[in-house]
Amino acid sequence: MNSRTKLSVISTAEGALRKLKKAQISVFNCKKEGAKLIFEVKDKDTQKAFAIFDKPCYNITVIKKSRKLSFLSLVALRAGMVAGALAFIAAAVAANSFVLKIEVCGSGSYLEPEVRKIIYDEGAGEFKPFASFNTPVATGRILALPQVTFCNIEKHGSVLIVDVQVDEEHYGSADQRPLISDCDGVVKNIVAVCGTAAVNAGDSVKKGDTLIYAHTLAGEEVISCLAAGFAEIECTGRSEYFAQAESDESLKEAYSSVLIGEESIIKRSHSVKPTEGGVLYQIEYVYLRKLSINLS
Amino acid sequence: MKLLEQIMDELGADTLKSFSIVPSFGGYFRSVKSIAEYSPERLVLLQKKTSIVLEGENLQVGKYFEEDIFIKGNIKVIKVE
Repeated sequence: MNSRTKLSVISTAEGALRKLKKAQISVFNCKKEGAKLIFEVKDKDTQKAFAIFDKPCYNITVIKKSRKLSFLSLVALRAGMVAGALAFIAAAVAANSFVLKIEVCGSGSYLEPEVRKIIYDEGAGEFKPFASFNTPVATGRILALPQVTFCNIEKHGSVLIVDVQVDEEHYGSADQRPLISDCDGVVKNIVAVCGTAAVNAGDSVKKGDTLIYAHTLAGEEVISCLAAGFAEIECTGRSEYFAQAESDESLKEAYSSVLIGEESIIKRSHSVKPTEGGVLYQIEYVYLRKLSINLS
Repeated sequence: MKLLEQIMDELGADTLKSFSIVPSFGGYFRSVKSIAEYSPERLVLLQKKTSIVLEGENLQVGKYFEEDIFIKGNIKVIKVE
């Protein structure tokens, strides 16, 4: 920044320069214009220059203030305006550090309720400071949502933009319904990735009962969302198998007639009853029924 | 400049009274006690026992502090009296 002030003095150049030299003032760019000597001095020497040319006959004037002095003069003259501008800048900076709006975009925008819940859980929210938001954890949790393949959280001004992309194969194919039990039994395990679990492990359920609700609770507010998760229900079943005669071979066939994967059966037992033309195997079994929704 | 001063010093010259001229640019003078005459065409610089007369075009004081002075302009003639 130029820190020199341009002065004009009505004096002979020789006399003026002699005085300035005597006062040990650095003089720059002297020019003689008629009776006037125009020269520049450092800002700090301006008052000194005025002091040595204080007699009215010299008629010293400031032609041009340095940018620094001009700025300081402007600040002094327009103190209110400057204070207002500073207050505005401070307000803008303060507002910028807050989140005033959250936007969820991308092909996974149908997951907005779940995404918003995660965002709120991790410390962000409307009119909350952005600094309190845990971005990496929120990103990880959003990526764990069903079908989500990409997530980017960015703050543009005061708007928090959450870009969520889902697998194209699943785009728009999410099941909006809750997870319903299709058998009677006892819940052994329930995991709700999204939505709210309707039952706990150990609860007995009947066919048609809701296992995971397609909504979530934010305080006392119920927000609709996708139900995603799985449940394992312990069920009992019974089947009959007719054989010509009782044998190990017949028992094997009787067991294999139960059309459930071997790994799902926890316990099984049988009884044999003679019947017309052979025997009837009655098989009782306990199996684990696995139900899931919106898990890829 | 330092080399020049060293040479002059070794030769026994008083380097405080030396000056440098750059054609069509200006000149740098030292130990100038005062300015006796000042106009765009003619400048008279006074040293303790010497006066230096400069003649040329658009002469003006570029910087003057303590006893060092830089003259801007096209110096055509120098007379040391």
